[in-house]
Amino acid sequence: MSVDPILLEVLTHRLDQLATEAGDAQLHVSASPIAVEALDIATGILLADGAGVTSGQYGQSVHIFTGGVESIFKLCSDNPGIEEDDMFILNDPWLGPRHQPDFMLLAPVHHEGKLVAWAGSLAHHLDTGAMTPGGYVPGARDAYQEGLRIPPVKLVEGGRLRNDILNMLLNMVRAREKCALDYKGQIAGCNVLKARLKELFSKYGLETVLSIMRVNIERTEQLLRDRLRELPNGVFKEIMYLDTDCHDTRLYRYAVTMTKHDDELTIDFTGTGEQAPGPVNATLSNTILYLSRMIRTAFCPELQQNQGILNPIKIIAPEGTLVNPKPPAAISMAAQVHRCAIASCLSKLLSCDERYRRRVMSIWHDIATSKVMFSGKNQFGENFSYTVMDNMAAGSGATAFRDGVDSGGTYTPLLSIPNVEFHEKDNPMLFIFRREAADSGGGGLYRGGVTIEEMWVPYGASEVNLFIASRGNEIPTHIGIFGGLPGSCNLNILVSGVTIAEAVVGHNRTRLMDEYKDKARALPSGVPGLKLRPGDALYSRYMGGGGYADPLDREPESVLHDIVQGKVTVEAASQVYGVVPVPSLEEVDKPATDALRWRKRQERLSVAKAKTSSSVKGTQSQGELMFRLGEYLEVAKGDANRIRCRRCKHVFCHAEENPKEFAIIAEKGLSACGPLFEDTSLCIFREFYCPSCATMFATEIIESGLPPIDDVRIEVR
Amino acid sequence: MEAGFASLIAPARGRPLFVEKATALTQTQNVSKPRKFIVGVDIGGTFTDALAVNEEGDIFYSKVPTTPSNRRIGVMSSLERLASSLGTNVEELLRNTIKFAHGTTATVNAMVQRLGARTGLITTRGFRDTLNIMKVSRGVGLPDIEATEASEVRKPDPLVPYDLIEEVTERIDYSGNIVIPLDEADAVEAVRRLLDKKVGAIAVSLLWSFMNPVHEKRIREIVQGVEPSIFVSLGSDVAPVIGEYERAFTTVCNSFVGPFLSSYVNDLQQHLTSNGFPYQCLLMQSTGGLMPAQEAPQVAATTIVSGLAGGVVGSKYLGETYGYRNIITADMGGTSFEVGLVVDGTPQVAKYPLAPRLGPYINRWRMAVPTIDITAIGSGGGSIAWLDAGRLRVGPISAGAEPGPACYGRGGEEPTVTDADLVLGYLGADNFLGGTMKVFPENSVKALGKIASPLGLDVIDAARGVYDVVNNQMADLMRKLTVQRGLDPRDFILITFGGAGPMHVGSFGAELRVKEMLIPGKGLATAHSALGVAVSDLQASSILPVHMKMPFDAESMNSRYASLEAEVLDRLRQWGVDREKITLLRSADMRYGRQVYTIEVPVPSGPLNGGLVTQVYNSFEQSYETLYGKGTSFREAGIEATALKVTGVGWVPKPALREHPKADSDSRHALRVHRQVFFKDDFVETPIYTGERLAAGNTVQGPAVIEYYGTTLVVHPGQSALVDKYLNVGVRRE
Repeated sequence: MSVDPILLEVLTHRLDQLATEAGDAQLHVSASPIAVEALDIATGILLADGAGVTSGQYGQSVHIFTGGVESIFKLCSDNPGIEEDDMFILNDPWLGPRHQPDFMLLAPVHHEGKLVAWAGSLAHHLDTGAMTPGGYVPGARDAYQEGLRIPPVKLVEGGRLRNDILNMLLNMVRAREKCALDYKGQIAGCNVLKARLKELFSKYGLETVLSIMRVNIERTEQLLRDRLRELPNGVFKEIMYLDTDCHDTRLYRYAVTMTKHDDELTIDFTGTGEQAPGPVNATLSNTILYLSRMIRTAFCPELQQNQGILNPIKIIAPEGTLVNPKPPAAISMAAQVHRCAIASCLSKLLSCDERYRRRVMSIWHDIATSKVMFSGKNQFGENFSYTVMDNMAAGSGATAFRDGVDSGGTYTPLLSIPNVEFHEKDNPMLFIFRREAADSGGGGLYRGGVTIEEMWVPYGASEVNLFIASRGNEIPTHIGIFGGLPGSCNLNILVSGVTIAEAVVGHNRTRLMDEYKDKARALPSGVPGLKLRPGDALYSRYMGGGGYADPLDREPESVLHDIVQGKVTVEAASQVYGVVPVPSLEEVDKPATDALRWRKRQERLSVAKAKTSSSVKGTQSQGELMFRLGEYLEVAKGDANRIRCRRCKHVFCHAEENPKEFAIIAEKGLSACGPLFEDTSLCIFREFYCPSCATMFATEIIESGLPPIDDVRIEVR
Repeated sequence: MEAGFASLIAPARGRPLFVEKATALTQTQNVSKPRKFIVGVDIGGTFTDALAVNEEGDIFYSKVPTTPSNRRIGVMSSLERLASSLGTNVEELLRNTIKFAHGTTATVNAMVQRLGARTGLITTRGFRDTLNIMKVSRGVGLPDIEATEASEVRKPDPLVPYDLIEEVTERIDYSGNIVIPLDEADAVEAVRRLLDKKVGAIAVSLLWSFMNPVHEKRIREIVQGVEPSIFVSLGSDVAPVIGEYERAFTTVCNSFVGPFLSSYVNDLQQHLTSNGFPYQCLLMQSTGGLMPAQEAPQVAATTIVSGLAGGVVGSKYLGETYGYRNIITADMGGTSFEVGLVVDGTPQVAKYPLAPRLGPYINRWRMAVPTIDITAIGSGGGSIAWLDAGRLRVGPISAGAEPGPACYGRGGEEPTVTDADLVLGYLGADNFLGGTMKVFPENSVKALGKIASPLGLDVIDAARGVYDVVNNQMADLMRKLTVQRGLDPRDFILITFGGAGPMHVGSFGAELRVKEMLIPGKGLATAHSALGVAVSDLQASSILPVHMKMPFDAESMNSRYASLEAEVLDRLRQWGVDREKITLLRSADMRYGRQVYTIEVPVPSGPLNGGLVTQVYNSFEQSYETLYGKGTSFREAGIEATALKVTGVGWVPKPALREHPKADSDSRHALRVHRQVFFKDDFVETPIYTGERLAAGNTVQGPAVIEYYGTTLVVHPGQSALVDKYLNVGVRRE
C-alpha cells in the first residue's frame, strides 16, 4: 500500500498522542494509587476487527484489548448487539484482561452508522469483591474466590451510563468510591478517543485514516522482520522457577524454548508446569501481552506498538499449564516468571550481534511480585482498603555496558511509587524508613540496580487486617546473565513488640533480623489475613536487578564507590567481588584485593575437573570469529566450528555442543549469591567457569539433577 | 497611560523598586523634559534582549549574545546598544529608567550545569535515600522516543552527593502532630558534619514539615547558631505541599542555586547602580510575576523558569490591549517550540501535585513549586529531519547554533527546518538577517537530498514534507495542551513569536483553526519576551496546607484567608505597593475524597458563608467536568481541600503601546521584490514585503511573505494580514 510519507507521519504522530491524551484524561479522574502512581492503566485504538493500532505511553500495551474486542463480537453481536455510543466493560481474564483487577472498557467507534474502530481504556481497580480485599487474592484456590469475573456488559448504552449496571458493580466491591472514579476515568478516556477519532475521520476521510493505521501495522511487522533477519538463526533456552502458589512453598517450572528462524520467532512453553492450585496462573492473554512487551523492548522500542509486533511471533502454550490455564484456575496474582525467561532468551540472541548488544539486559521488570494489602478503619474512622505496590521500586538489570539503575522500577519509564506522605495521608500507617537496600543488586562486572527496603507501623488505628501476596521470596527471578548473579529476593518481616521511637532510632543497621532477633519473623509468600496492631511493624524488601557477567571482573574502584554510597557492604565486596577496601574506605587495598581475587580464581579451578569434548580434540584455538555468544564465549570458524573463551581462547567444544557441559561446574546453595541470600531446599545454584582462565561465564538457578540449560545453539551455516 | 499614581514609599532595603511620579509618565508632559523609560531585559540561552518603552508607548530594543560565564556582561552590553539606538548612553538611559525588570535563565542553567553551591541536606531519620530513589520515575523529562529504550533510561545524577545527606531523629505525622520530638543533639551533630565537609548551603526538608514546620525552624536556628552566614532553605518555606520527594528536591534546588543567584543579582544591581540607575532591579518569578531581585535568592527555586515566563506575560499584555482573554502563546526559536496558555486573562500555571506526565519539571526533575505552564518540544528552526524506516521525522535533535542548519555553511550537513524554509522560498537567501548574513541554498538542497531520495521524492517535496511534519507536530502539541484542559483551540487567538514562529504560524495556526493569529510587529517577534518582562506586575503569594473535608467550615476559612491575605499585603507593602494598587485573589486546591491530584479553584473574596461555600463546591465540580468531561464528577466521594492560597498582584507602572495613525490598505509601498515561493503544490511568483515599511491599516493578501529583521512572516493563499494601529500583524483566513 502506498501512502504519502508526510501524511503518514502527521497522522501517526496524532494517533499516538491521542492515545496518551486519553490516558491523561483517565488518570486525572482516578483516585487509585495503582493507576495514578504506578500507571497501571492502558488506552488503545484498534481496528474494527480488534487489531491493535496504538496505545499511549502507559504501562500496558494495546494488545491487551484485542482479546476483549474478540469476546464482545463472540458474546454480544446478536444480543444485546453492538450499537453506536455503547461501551462494554469486562474483566474476565479468559476474555482479554490480564487478571480480575484489570477492568477493560471498550467502545465501538462508528462512522456513518458503520463500526470502523474501537477505543479501549483499562484500569487496575483497587478491589474485585473477592474473599479478601485488594484485588490480589492470596488465599484463592479457584477463580470463584477471586470476586467479579464479568464477561462483556454494556455499561454505557447509546451514550448513557447505565446506573443500574454501575450500581451493581459498585455494590460488589469494597473500595466503592475509588472504583467508581476508575470507571468514570475510563469513560472519560474512551470519550476522548472517540471524539478525536471522529474528528480525524471527518477531516482526512475515513479510508485515509484507516489505511494509515493498517500501513503502520504492516510497517512495524516489516521492520521487526528485517531486524530478526539481521540476527543469526538459532535456538535459545531458559528455565526459571516460581517458588510458591501462595499456599505452599513449592517449585513451579517455566521452560522457554525460543527458536529464531529467518524473520520469525517461535516461543514454545512446552515443559512448563501444570496449572497451580493457587492464584499464580497466567492466562494466555497475559502471556501474549508480556511477550509483546519483551519483543518490543528487545527489537523496536521506538516503533509504534501495534498488532504488527505479534505477527512474526508464534506461540506454543500447552493448555492446562501455568502459562495457559483452564478455568476456573485462580489467576489474580498471575506470575510473570515466563516473561523473565523470555527476556533471558532474547538477551542471549541480542548478544550475538554488536548492533543489538546495547539492548542486552540481565533480568528485571518482573512486576507486582509483592503486594501488601490492608483494610479496616483508617485514622478518620472511615472504612478503607489499600494496596501498597512499592515493589515497583525494584532494581533494574545491568546491561552489557552499564550497571542497572538503582530503584529503577520497570520498563515503564514514567512509573513511580507514591511518596510516603501519600501513603500516610489517609491510610493508618507511619513509615519508619524507606531506603535503598544494600547488596540487593545482583553482583557482576556490571552490578544490578539495588531495590528499596521499608518499614511501617499501623498508626491511628487500633487494628488493621493485613494480606500479603508475594512470590520470589525463596528463588529470585531477577537472574543474572553471562556469569552475573541474581538480584535479591522479596522479603516481608513482621516485627512485634516495638515502639515507634525504638524503631526509628534502632533501625540504622543493615540486618533487620539480627537487630530484632526474637521479635522478628519472616512471613510466608501468601498471608491471607493477619491482624496488625500498634507495637507491630512490617518490613518489606523487594527484588534487586540481575547482574551482568563475572563479578570478579568488576573494577575494584566501582566496588569501593558502591560501598561509600551504601549500595554494597564491605562483607559483600569481599564475598561477591573479591574486593577489599582499606579500613577508612578511602581507597581499595590493592594487594589484598589482588590476592583475594587470585585465591577465588584458584578455588574455582579446584572445584572439579572439566569434561573435554572429543569432537574438538587437538584442534587449534585460532580461527576466524563467527559469532559472539554473550560476554565471554564465541564461535570460531575452522575445520570444525568451535566454541572458545574470548579471554584465553580455551576451546570448549564443537559449535553443536553445549559449552557448559565442558566447563568446571560448581553446584552451590543460593547463599553463594551474596549476603542477602539464603539456601533453599527447592533448587541449587550453579556456576560455570572456563577451565583455563577461571572466568565465570554462566550461572544457573535450577533443580538439582537437571542437566545444564542449553542456552544458545546457533545455526552455523 | 494612566496618570496620577501616588509616589511609592522606599522599601526597607534603601532603594525603591520603581517610581510612579504623577508627572513622570503622562502623555501631557513637556516633550523637552528627558523621557522616562521602562526597561525589560530577557536573558535567554542564546541571546539577551533589552527593550525600552517610553511614556508615549514607543518601543526600542536591542539584541546581543548571552554571556553565560557572567550574564551581567551581556545585560550591560544590551543596554549600551539599546542606549545608542535611542541616541544616548547607558548612564542617561538608566537615570531615566523608572522600572528595570529582567527574566533570566541564570538559575536554571546553574542547576542544569551543576554550577550551584555545594549543598548539604538534612532530612528525617530513615529517609536519607529519598532523593536517590526519586520515586523511581526514571523517564521524567525525556522525550518519548528516548524514554522507551529500557536499557538506556537512567536517573540523572543527584544534586546532593550521598555523603552530604544527614538524617536527624524526629517525626511529625500527617496532621502535624509531633510523634518523635527533634533530637537536638542529633541535629547539632548533623550540622557540624556538614559544615566540616565544607558545604556552601544547607537544605532542611523533613517529613510532613508543611503541616508543622517547628522542627525545620529549630534546625535552621541550630545551623545559624553554628554558622550564621550559611544559606539555609526549609522545605516548609520553599514548597509547603505534600510529597516529600518533590519538596526535598525543590528545597535542595533552592539552596543549590540560591547563593549563585545572590551573587549574580548583587553584581547586576551594583553595575546598574553605578551606572546611575536609582532603583532596585526586579526579577521575573517562574509564575510570571515580578519580585525585588535582591529577595529572589531566598526563594531561588521559584525563579527557575524566570527566562520562560516573559513570552506568556507579554502575550497576556497584548491580549489586554486588544481585549482577548484566551490566548495560546507559541515561541519557535532555533532548537525548541514552547507553548503557553492564557485562559480567561490568566496565564496558566503548572503546579505540583499533578499527574506524572503533567506536573512541572525542570530538566529531569519534578518541582514542587508552581511554574508558568510552558510545554516544549524539540521543534525549532534547527531541528533535524531524519528517516525512520520510510517515515519522515523532524527533531527532537537540533543542529543548534553550531554548526547550525546546512545553509549556514558552518559545516552542518543534516537537513533542518530552516533548510526546508529556504528551499521553499519562505526565507530569502538575499535578505537573511536584513542581508547581513550570507546563506548557502545549495547546501540545503544537498542536505535535503539525503532524505528525499530514500523517500522517492524530489528535494522540493521533501522540503514541503519537513515543513508539514514540523507544523503538524506543533499543532498537535497545542491541540493537546488545550484539549487536555478541556479547552477548545477555536476559542483562542494565537500569538506567535521567536525567530522561526511567524514563518510557520500560517500553517500550524490554520491547522489548529484558531480565531486569529497575531504576530508582534516591527520585528518585535524576537523581543516579545523582553516586552513581557517590562510590562509584568509584582506578585506575591502565601499558601496554607489544610485537611478540610466537606462540609467546609466558613468561619475557619474566613480566619485562615484573613491571615494569608495579611501576609501577602504585608509583603507587597514592603515592596512599596499601595493597598489600592493590590489585587488579592483567593483560591483552594480541591479534589474528591481519596484522590491524589487537585484542582485549583477560585474562592470569592470577602466574608464567606454557607451559600458561598456551596458556590466553591460548585465551581470545583464545574472545573472538574471541564477538565475531565461531563459525567465524571462524583460528589458521593466527598470533596476535600488540601491547601488555601492567596495571590497578591501589585500593580506597577506599565506603558500603553503607541497608536499609529491609520493609513489605507494599500501595501505596495512596502513591496521589495517578487520571488518564487512554494504554496500547496507548486511555486508561485510571490510578493515580498519589507515589514518595517508597512503602516497601520495596510493589508497584505496571501500568498505573500513579509520580511522583518530577524524574522519572516509567511501569509498563505487564502489568508490576509492586516497591520493594526500598534503595527502588530493579524493574520486571518479570508
